[in-house]
Amino acid sequence: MLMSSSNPSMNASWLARVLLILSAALLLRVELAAQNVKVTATARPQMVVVNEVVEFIVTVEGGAVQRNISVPPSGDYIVTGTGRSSEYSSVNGVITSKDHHTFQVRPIKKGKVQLPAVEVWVYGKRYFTTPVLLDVIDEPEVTNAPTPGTPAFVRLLVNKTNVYVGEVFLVEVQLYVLSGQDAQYPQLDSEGFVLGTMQQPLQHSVVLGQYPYQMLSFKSSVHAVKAGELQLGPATCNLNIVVGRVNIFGIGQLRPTTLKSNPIKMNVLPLPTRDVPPSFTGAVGRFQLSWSATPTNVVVGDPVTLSIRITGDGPLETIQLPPQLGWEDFRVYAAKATLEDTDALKVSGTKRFEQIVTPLKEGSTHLPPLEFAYFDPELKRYQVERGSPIQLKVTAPGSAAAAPNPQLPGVAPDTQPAEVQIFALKPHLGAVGPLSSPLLSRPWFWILAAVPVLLFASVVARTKWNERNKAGATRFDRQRFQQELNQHLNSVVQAQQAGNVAEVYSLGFRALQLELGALLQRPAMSITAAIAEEELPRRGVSPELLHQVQDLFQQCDEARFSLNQSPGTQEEFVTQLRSTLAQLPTEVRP
Amino acid sequence: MNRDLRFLLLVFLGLQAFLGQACASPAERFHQANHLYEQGKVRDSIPIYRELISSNYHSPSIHFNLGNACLQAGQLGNAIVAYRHALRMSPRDPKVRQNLAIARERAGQSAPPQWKSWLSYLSLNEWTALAFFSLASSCGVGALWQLRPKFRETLSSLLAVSLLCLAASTASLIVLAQDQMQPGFVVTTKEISLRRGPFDESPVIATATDGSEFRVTDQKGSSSWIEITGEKNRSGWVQSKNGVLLYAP
Repeated sequence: MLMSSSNPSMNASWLARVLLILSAALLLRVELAAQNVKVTATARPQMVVVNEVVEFIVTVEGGAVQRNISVPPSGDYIVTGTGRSSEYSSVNGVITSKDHHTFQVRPIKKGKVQLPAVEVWVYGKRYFTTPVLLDVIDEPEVTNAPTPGTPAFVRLLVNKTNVYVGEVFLVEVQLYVLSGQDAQYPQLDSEGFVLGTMQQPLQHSVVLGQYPYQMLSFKSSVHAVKAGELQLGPATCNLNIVVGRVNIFGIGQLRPTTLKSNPIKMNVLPLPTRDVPPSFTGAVGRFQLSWSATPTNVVVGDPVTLSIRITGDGPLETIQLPPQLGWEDFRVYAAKATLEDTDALKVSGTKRFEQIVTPLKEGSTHLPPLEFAYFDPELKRYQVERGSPIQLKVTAPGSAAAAPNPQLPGVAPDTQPAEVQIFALKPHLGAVGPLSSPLLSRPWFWILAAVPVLLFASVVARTKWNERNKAGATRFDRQRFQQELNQHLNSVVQAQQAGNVAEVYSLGFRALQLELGALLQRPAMSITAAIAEEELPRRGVSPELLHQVQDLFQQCDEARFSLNQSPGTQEEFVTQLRSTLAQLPTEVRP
Repeated sequence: MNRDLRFLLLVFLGLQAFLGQACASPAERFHQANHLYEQGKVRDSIPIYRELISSNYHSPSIHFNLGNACLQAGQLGNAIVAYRHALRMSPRDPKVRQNLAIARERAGQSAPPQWKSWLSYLSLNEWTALAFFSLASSCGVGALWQLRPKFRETLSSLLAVSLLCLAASTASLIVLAQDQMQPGFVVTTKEISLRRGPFDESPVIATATDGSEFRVTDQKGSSSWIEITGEKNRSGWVQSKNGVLLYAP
């Protein structure tokens, strides 16, 4: 009922709302679609011989072009033809389209030719492509130029033939194939040069003398490592060429072939040896230096991260941060280097160094100046880039502040001398004087060195002298003792001749005591047969001699109690006594 | 009159400048060289350091700073020579050691063996003095040993320590003296050829680059030809003008 009694003004309002929502949705879709529009421009190949055709392709992705696209005219090139193709793809249910607008461009001037930004209208919005730079070179000197219709040939191109040592230039190997397949990566004879990594090849069609060739373009960067007239190339490439008739399936007979390009004569100039800046580390090209430091308000020992960016054209991968002067107030850690925003050949872009330093002294100061020197092959002279000064405030550490040598996470203190900055100048002259010869070469030192040796020798000599004297005195005593003993023995003989038996054995006993006492270093009175038995074997006396000594002692004892000894027995006693006393000094050890 | 006055003034200023230059003290010249270095004019600072040295003013600082200037100027051989002189005078200076190591690394020279590094922590004279005191103490303890037999037990350990010190210090001294008192040769030109004999016509058997260090093993009479031996027994004849001969100080 209510529905049927709807009034016209309400219906109009409803319709207006629907239309508003639909138009909003349409606008939103257009806006969203416009956000996904991408417009790019490329040229194939980027290095080309003058008057040869280049394909300049403007690709519009995610939208339809509303107006015709045209390449702005220029005196550097002629646009010889245009074409258009579309490409659709579906990824996860999302369909995207690409429109390729191809222009045949023929550069007519040698050098760097810029294909300017192209205006593209999509969804009522204006877009511009980025300009594309072409390297247009002279026709290379070819000894055996391929005739039109040749099944395949290789061409070697460089963007310059006069270069400096270390200067990066581009090399391109172009493989033209009319009827062939299975082409392999080309090999380039490059003695005296260092080749960069060869890029994935780009393929496109080229018409040469009415023959539609497929061209594969292999690009790489190169730099020379020695000066002089050098030869780059030839480039060789293996592929299978179709020979004979092609069957109904489009398959022909294949013949493996090695193609060889022309070599290129390169004039490599040495870098000037004059006015070489101290911070020059071999970079050749054009660069700009910028740097920043964070934080700039720190405590002694805190890390400050320096972000150093070297941007430009040159061998970015090999660029090193030069050793810097004036950093003795900082502990410098090894720098980490990364490449940023580089082109495919890594010869243009930015190299970023992240260097951590820790201040060792407090105070408000500037960070020491940062320098980077390079050789500019265009200007043919060395250039020095200097970083702008950065103010740094360093305060004294608090009680719990960081130690002067903090362990930075993931950063080990640099122990490699090559990466460590050299220690800066010594500001104080110190003690100055002539160089003195070493002590070893001075005569007075040898005289001085001889003094302790001589003193020691004199002490040893004196000791030995004393010992000798002592031995002499002992010898002298022994002589005197021997005289006494001899006198004693004479008394024994006299007593025997006088028939005084008691006297013979008493004196004989006494002589034995005296001799043994002297030899055993004991008082003569204390010597008995028991002591002799005990001591003499220890002193090395033979058992025979010991037996004789014991026998003599026994005879003396017996004579003391019975004096009826016969004269023959007394004589034997005296003889035995003489012989024993003579042998004892020879056998008894001191 | 005006012209005469101007001429006299010029002569006076010239004389003053000359005398000022000539009479500058070593400290002033040193400061001047340092200033040039800090201004980035390292090549201009080198002659001033050299002039001080040739005037027989030697200090570790002069040789060290000369080494720095040469290193910054890319003269690796000259830098190594200067640092070696500085190290002989100041053997325990870590800065000299560090910079010498950097110069050697840049010149592609390998670092000396660790034991040699340890030995060179004392100078030749310091090792000599140590050996002398070890000798004197050994002799003293030995003399006491002779004179006081009663204390021999106590003295025996002291004597053993003294003799051990004497043996160690003497051996170190001999090794260091052989190393330092034998003439050395450091290449200071970009590249030199080592020849089989002392003639320009002799075949080249090897090459050496700036900063390569060698020992001098022979000399051809009074000529400039010397035979040098380096790492891995690389040897050959070269003309001494291609480098710096390092003699015992």
